Amino acid sequence: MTGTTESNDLDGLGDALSESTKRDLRRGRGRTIRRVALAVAAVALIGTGTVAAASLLSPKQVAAGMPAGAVIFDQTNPTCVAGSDGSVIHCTLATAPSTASGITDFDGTKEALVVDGKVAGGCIGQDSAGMTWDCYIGQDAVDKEIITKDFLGEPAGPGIG
Amino acid sequence: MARHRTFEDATDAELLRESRRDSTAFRVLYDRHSSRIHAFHLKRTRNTGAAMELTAETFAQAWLSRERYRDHGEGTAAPWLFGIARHVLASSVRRLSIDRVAQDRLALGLAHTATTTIDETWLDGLDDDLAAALAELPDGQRRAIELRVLADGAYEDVATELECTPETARVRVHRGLSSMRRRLAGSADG
Repeated sequence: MTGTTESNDLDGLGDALSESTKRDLRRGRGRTIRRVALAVAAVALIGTGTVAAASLLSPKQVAAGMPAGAVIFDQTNPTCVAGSDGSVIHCTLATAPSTASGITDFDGTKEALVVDGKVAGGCIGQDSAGMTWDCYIGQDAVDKEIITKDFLGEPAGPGIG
Repeated sequence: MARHRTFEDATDAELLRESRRDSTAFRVLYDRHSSRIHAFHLKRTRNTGAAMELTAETFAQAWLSRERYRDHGEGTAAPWLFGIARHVLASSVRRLSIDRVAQDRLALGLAHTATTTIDETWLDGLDDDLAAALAELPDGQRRAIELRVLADGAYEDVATELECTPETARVRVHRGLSSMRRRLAGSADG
């Protein structure tokens, strides 16, 4: 491939990406509006917005949601237990997370939690080696600034680092 | 972010932040880095079609995970993008097919190269680059990284070993990692 051809191909890829990313932004706005409507309906049905978040997912689902949300958790075999305050879920990995993404100190690192293909919450690294994580579900993860409100409920696969 | 007359003046971190609302910002980021990411994949695969597809997947994944980019104050997203590129490459070799998860989610709609054969040699020497980058660091920085990152030592322990203050140990690790990131980003061009 000549330099010119390569440059043309990269320009073409850039144009295709631009179209797709524009479309993705538009789609995202629509989804946000629908999610807000659903959330309002749910609160109206429940009568209160203060549902204990951890009760919505089991620790086992959270453990499965870690590698589904971030590739650094591939083959780390997390095990999780619900914390006493009803919101935090403590997770411990059997093996250290991958550093291939460039993260070498996991203390404070934030990763999304994906359950059933959608962002359900997030986890924060509790030590430098990345062996222990505290995870939060739904709005709790937003309040902890692990994920943004817009990101919650988005379709997602394993993210990078 | 500060209002720029054009995105050309913005840092990579600002572009990624702005791209949450305006996809034009991401195009500027793509234009800045696509040649080097493509060169990285081409160097590894020696296959123009595969390199282009891997570049597409790299930037598609970058788009989908852009909200999770963390600015470490270095002014460039190159280390982050190369981290994604390495993952996409390794993932494709592991699955024996070009990783197109993010492209599919974005409905990127590229004409794929049907005859691309995944070759495990694409990963040959991938970590050698890391070892070489580590070996090139000054002794103090290299030891600090070995003790802190590879041996997972506390900064206090690193400082004791290197006979310096914990603050100095922290600076050596930071500078060493920054140098390695720059070198690894540069090695993709060759």
